[in-house]
Amino acid sequence: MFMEYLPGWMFLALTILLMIGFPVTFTLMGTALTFGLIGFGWDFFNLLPLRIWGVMTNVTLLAVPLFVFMGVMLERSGLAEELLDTMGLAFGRLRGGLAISVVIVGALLGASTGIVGATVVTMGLLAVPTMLKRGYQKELATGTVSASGTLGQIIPPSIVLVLIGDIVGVPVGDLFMGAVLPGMVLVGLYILYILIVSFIKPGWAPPIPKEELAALTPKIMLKKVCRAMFPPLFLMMAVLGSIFAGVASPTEAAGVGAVGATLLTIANKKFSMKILQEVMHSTMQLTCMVFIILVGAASFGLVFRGMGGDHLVREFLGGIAHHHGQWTVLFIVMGIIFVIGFFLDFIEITFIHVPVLAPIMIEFGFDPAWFCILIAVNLQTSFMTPPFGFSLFYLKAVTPPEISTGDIYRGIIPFVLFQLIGLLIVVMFPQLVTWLPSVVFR
Amino acid sequence: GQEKKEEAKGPAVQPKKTYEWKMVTTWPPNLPVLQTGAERFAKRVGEATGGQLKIEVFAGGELVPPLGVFDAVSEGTVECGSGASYYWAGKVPAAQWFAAVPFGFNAQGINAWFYSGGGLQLWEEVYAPFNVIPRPQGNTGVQMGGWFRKDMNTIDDYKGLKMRIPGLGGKVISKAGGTVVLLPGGEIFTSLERGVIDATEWVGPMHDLRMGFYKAAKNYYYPGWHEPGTCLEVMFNKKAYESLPVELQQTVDAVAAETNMWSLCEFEAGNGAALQTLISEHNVNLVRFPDQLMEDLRKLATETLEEEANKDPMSRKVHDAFLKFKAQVGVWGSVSENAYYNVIADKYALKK
Amino acid sequence: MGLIKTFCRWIDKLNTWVGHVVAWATAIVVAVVFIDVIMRYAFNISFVFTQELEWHLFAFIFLMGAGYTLLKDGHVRVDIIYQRCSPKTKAWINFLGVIFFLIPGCYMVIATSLNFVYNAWVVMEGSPDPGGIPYRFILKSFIPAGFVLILLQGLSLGGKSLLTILGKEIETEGER
Ligand code: NA
Ligand code: NA
Repeated sequence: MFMEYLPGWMFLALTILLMIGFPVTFTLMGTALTFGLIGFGWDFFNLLPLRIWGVMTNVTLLAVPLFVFMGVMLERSGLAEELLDTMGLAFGRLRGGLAISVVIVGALLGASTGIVGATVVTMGLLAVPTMLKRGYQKELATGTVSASGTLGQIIPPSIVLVLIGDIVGVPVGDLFMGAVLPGMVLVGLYILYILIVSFIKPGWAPPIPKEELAALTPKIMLKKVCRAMFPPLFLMMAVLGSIFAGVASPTEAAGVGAVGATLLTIANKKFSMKILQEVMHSTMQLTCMVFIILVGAASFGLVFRGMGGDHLVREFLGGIAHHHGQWTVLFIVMGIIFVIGFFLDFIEITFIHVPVLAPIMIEFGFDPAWFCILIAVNLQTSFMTPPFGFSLFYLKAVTPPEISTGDIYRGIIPFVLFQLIGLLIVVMFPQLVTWLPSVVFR
Repeated sequence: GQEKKEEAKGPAVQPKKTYEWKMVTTWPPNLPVLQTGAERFAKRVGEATGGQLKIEVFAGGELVPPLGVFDAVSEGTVECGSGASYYWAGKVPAAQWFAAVPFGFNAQGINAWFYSGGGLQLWEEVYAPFNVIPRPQGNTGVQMGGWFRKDMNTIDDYKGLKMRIPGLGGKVISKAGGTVVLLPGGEIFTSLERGVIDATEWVGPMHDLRMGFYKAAKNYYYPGWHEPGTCLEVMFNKKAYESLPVELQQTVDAVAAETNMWSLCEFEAGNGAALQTLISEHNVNLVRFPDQLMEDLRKLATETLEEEANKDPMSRKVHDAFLKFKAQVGVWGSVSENAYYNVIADKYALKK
Repeated sequence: MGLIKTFCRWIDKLNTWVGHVVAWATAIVVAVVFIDVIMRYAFNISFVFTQELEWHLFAFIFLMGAGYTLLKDGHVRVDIIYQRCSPKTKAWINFLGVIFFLIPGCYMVIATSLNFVYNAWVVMEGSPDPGGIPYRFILKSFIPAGFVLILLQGLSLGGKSLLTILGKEIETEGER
């Protein structure tokens, strides 16, 4: 019994050990090593350097240091604060206005990369301090940022869609087009939640004080907005523009953004050797944090496979498909992916489950593209679910020390619920996925 | 490898040792003919040995990253792998000739070289220092030249052309004045659609259709001079292979050869059907590279291969053997297949 | 005690120095990517060499900077319990964490990668792409090198934690 369910025990052990508070990545490695030695011995670990090599050679991950550089530069130069402050002013009359603008910025950033580590870290640096300064509740601030920073997962370009499309055999272009509306639905739901919460609990998302707004004549306000909107527009042009104009690939566009942020800093006369040094050091630390976690996850994933964890899950899923109707199967499958998303990262899940599930679902008559998007939305949720949501770890690393992991966990839960509503909407209205590609690609 | 003794079923029956192997591949899960070919190989080995040798297949990235296959097999952590030998050029430059080189063998030629021209022995010699034993296990047939957003009329049209084309083909393109862009698989489509690159090559119609490149570029050029018949390989860790009884070794070899045949047939059938779909449903503009342009590229390819061959003695040895055999089958091919294709070619109208 | 202190101080110095060097690579990688984009778009020029340099630098950064990141306590923790602990309890967590997680974890990576790296050195492994960077064997060496730096920093963390447990005052760099 013990050996059979070893992968399960490993998850349980990890959950407990992580709570102790030693750095996540080493806890992952230590746990993996212990269970690997119990499960299959030392030899299998020889595959570990190959997995690390896989992280090193994964060119799309290059977006992380580039975007982080951009984010840190904006933050250290004070531009980010000014930007979000003004956006908050612009939405000032609205309760939760600042949070809403954060969601929109997150969606735009998500449209330029598919790497969650990059967007969450960038957004965390930029938005959390400003929101706290404006009196936002910690939970709402961090929840908004980790949810909207994860939007890049579903808003194209998106790595997970590329992987799933490849496995299922749906052209990437169709999936990218198909993901646009579901992505917007999620954006809409996040905003809806913020609106609801700021009306029920005004103290959580205070509007800009009346006096402050009154002190601003429309003219000054307009000037301020124009001044503050220039940098973000310039950056969006630099990043999204270079992708859409065919100047740079999505990964390279992150580099264009980093240079753009530096230029803005120089133009604002905030640039100095000291700032550059700080930016470089922070970029390095955050990059190391993200990727050494991935190395820890690589060893954990290796052990999970080595112990036959994937077999357990596959057999279980295969068994369900034979005994139930199509909607029941879909419901169970989505539920399982959701739960497993607590523990494994999306690449593992994609590789383990999608090849088993896709043929079954297509057999049932579901649209392949629609099914791919459902999985992608579901996997996006896995970044946000405590205790192992990577977005939450990444956010923790960039927020001020007074924000605890607990704040972040509590803050994300409502967003996860709204995310599930989004999933349900996509389930009920497959046209959300199929309509746009059918129009765009004739 | 894990080895288990099976219980003897009766006094007359010899207890047979069973073997459980792992195979890692360079292909993504479910990739038609490439990954499914590796899986078919594993399944057929199981059937042909009556379950005595079971091989579990892991797609690229599942256990090890795609380009970690050779290392994993060489180390013996997994017993076998599947890929294409040009991926290992960074370790063994001479390996490239056993997958595909520009203007090299087509499928028929490279198979003749392997099975009847000493090619396989040479390949074994090249992999021997790494404790790896290679076998041909598939072939893509002639690939397509690629998807171009521009018209390619003369070699000068390559000047400044931004193309995603890895390996030796890429070197030829850069000799022609082109710009070789390296892109991860997931960014090729977006980059081509947006014009970050002007062109990309992929495989043949069957795989290109899946990628949806017809939505991003208008011209589909042929033939795939840079990969005229790419050989896919299965490789075994030497110790694991030699631990098998001789009859199992022979079964494994036979199944590899059978899968090689199957793979080529799948490509031949699948590409034909997919090409029809691309033409009639997606109105792809199918264009043949002009003869002069091909001739110019061929000269550059010859230069490129010479340079590669001069890099180390083994590459030189392989290259010379390759050229020698190419001349041998080339003479015959020009009066057999080539002449015959020319006779029947116009009987197959590409459109309608 | 003095020995532990000296040892920790040396390790901290080493990783601080390495960190300063590696930090520059972040600015360089931004520049390389940007120049690649501009050269390709404006002049249709591109080199396999520089395209590979982009991710070579990236790999260099995250492996070689990881020890420094540990020095600065930059590797994220689940601090639901940890943040409520007294300095002494935190020291215990770190001390035991180093012994049971960090040292075995680093040993696992270093021990398994040595052969992997050795094999690359034997053939002087380069890029499979013509025109690529011919130093993959060096790039691969950053795996054990980076984890040796983490291991050393982990020993320093363990040493400092031990001193705290024993009630010896120590000026800690980068603790928060
Ligand atoms: Na995205
Ligand atoms: Na190809």
